[in-house]
Amino acid sequence: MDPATIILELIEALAPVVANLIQKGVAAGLTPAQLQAALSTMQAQAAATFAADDAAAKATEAAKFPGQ
Amino acid sequence: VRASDRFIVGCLIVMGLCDFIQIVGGCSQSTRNTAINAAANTTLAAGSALVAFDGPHEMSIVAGASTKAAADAGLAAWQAERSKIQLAIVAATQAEIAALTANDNASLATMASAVAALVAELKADGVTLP
Repeated sequence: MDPATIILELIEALAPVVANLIQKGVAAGLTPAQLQAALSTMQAQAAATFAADDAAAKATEAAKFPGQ
Repeated sequence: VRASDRFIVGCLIVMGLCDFIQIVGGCSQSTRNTAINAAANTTLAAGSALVAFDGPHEMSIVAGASTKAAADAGLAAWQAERSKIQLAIVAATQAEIAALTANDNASLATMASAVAALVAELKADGVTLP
């Protein structure tokens, strides 16, 4: 078996989750610009989600510890 | 052995094989692209996993606290860790972009290191990849 085949089989065996994502075409063959755009989108979504999560946690905290 | 751990080991082995193959004629472009693509997918999956993990984790911190001060401290500590993971995601992505652009072994090694650091941060905080 040639080295390239070994490497490809290795990668596939090593990360089932990654192979699964690639099969779904989630991020297969991204260009640098597409990868940068995916990062920007992820950061924006994360910022919005984290702000909402923080607010919800604070609200729960206020309800659990009234007057503290 | 977790998939993320196996991935790191795989990256290291790939890097080693690429170094070896480079000596005898160069690491193939398709193999390199597969490694970079796997790293990019792992990084994007890490971002999704972090977003999914955050809300329930913050609620569990509040639920487990016995005072408001303890809850505040727990939330602040987690949010600091969360920021570190976000920085690691950015670093890994930038390294992947550099590896896609530069086409040399040094950029591939930097990328593997950045992804390994990201996976270590996730593991330390209990965030699991899907």
